[in-house]
Amino acid sequence: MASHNVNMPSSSALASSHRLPTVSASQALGTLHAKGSRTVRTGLSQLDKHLAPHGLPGRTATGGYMRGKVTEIFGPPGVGKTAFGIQAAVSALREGHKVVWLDAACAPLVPQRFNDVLLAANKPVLQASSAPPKVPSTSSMSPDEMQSQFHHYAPPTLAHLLALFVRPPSSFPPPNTSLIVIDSLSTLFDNAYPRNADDRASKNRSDQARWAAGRKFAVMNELISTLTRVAAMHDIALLVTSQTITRMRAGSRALLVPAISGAEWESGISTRLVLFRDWVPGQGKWSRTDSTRLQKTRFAGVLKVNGVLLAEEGGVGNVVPFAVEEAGLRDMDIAAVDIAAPVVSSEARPKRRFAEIDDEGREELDSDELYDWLEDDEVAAEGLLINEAPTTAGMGSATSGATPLAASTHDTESTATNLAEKHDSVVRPPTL
Amino acid sequence: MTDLLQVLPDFDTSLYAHLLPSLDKALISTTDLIILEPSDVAKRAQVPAGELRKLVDAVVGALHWHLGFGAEEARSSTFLSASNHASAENGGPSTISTLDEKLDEALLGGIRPGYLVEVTGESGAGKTQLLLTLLLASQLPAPHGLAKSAVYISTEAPLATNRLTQLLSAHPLLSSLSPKEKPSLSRILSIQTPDLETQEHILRYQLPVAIKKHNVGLVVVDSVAANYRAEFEKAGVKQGAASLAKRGTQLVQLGALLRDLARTEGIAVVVANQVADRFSKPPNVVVPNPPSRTNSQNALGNDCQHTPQPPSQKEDELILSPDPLALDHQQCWFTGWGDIRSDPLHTLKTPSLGIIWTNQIACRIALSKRPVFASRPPIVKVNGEDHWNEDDTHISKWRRWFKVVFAPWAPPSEGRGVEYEVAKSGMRHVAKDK
Repeated sequence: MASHNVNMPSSSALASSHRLPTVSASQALGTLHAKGSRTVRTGLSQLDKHLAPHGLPGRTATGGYMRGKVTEIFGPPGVGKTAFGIQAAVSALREGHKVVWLDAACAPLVPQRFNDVLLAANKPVLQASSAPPKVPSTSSMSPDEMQSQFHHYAPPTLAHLLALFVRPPSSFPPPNTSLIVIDSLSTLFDNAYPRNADDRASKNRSDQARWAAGRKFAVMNELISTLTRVAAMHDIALLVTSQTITRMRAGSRALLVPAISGAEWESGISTRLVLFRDWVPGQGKWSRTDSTRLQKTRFAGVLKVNGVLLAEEGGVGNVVPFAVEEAGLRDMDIAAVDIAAPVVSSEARPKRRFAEIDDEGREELDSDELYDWLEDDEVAAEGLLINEAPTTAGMGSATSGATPLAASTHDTESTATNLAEKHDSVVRPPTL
Repeated sequence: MTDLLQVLPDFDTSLYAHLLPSLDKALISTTDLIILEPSDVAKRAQVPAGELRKLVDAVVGALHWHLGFGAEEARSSTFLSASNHASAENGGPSTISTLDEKLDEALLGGIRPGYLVEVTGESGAGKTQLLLTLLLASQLPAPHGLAKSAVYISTEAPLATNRLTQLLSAHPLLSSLSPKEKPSLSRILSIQTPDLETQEHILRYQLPVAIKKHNVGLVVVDSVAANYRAEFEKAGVKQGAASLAKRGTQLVQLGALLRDLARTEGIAVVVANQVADRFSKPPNVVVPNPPSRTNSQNALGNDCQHTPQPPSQKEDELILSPDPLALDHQQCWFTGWGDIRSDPLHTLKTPSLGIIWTNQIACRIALSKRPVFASRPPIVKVNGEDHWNEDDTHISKWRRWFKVVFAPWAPPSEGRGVEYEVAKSGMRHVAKDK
């Protein structure tokens, strides 16, 4: 696939050609087997395991960001999105591949910080009890050579980025690129299409104004389809970081949601991770792990992996703890259990008992604008949505329609709250 | 074209002057030009398609060139190695020092140019002190500064020149310099922007010119929140959601403007931000039913994180909070207040302008203060008789902390941060008594 050097004509014919080059199935399978790893390692072995695809018969696939697909990482400010991008880039460079970094972040990449991670990966790692063995470099490149394989661009506007992907110059992406990082895409998008509640008001009388107001979602859809196309055609893992905005739920409990959202956007993203912080107990509780290091623990939630949705809005899916250090990301040797989404199998799903609804009634506002619930129901009915979190539209409501969905959300949240209180009282740490 | 000159300021529009007004009228943006078929755009804007194609090609070519394609191809791949040489020569990346070694340590050297930095905290915490120190330090040569002049943009009070003079004479480092090396007030340009309109105009049009003309290395805006609050108080409650949305848009544009300035001119932009009291609901304390955890079925067949187990916590297992992505919860870590669990909820502060503004900044420094209450005896003698001490709690002094909440070049501060005090000689960290 990557051996096809698809010449991108600069004429407008490109914009309409969404076809991938076709190969026979046996040829494709053969290429697949012949290729090296089809992922870019994340740098956290626990996370790699969560992202590993189903192995092909006779092959074990290592996990990581899937090449040919788009992965999105979102989270609040300062949580570590850029750190994940850096780690992925270092993994790719160490495999001998090229990396393209598109820097649109509010905090432009600090070269020294990147070099720290790149050079640390080369040094032999002292095997602390909980440190995972660093993957040895498969290429014999020197740090200097790896640095020159790292291509950094700073697109100031969304238009620049689109010009790069929709009408690419002949040298983009460079051959042997395995990873493109866009950090952060939401900044670019928000600058071009700032959130404005006004355009929902029907003040737009003229046809042009109405058309212009609708451009935001049209461009978003075009953006994701372009990104998925470029990723697929060049067999590149495309890693996108995104900031968060708030969405109000009833009861004035604001939720942090990804800044870019939309039905088509979500379906174009193959893997989605959320990074977040949480309380970590104080000393005295842990035998093996070092408590100072523990305090720095952050969490990565796998919300969607290789097209499979694991958690709905507000949920955090499968959680992997990590820490950000000067040498890069570091695994934490503990299991993080997310009690907000107790795992329920479809057969053992408890009957919804309305009497158990919490007085707090943390109802979620109708999220029709963000998610097409009905669409999800149809998909779920085909068994394609694997329901880890009961808050998903999923099984029960597929047949019973939209209203019980709201009730089930209450119920599972109340169960979650009850669980939470019990455990919260156990884990509240002594004052520091 | 509605935004062509914003996207490509140097684009030569003379060849396409006959197309642009029609495109403007049809509200076609640069992104539309790139994405849509030229024939569709031409029909919508009623311009000849052939001419439009030429414009599109020219625009795309200019965008590529702007990014660095087509000129020297090698420029993009020297990003990492270039910095090696630069820092090796100067003994470290260029920074603006806080003129205190422990505070500098928290910042791994100081404020770095090229970034939008926020200093936030209550009044009386020391924001102005820090900003004044930076205005002086930026004039010093490396390693303390950038050897450039500074701009001070104030929305409220004029520049405190008396305090600057005092710092120059009382600060240990500054007072020890010879008159030639000493920073001077004449290299600090000061301007006041009492309302949003003035602020917008000055930041967008006058500041870039001043930066080039006066070789400016640091721009301080004190404070960013003030004008927005005044403006929206004026608008009245009935404007409500619309004005909030408008404010969001303006903040995004302001952030983009300041970041662009920082990046293209290579300056540090430091803005001060106010805080408000945080009103957050305490977590529920409801006695629950025993949890009914059922067996997990991890359909992916990966290592199970949710192995069946009794409700008691296993060793080495961390239970997450319910609803971890709630704003109230996450903001404990990105605001600078709330990450110390023992702090009472009523003492927590939240920087103004919300998460939309937080998304605009690269670095946040939070200056917090807590009162120290004098111990008082519970029973006092009044007229020879014992009475309960009715006196209000007496605040004997304030303790202050400097905390890096997040920064691209430095790790966040541990705990409360670095404790400091403000004296005549400036900001000084408090040495821990052994």
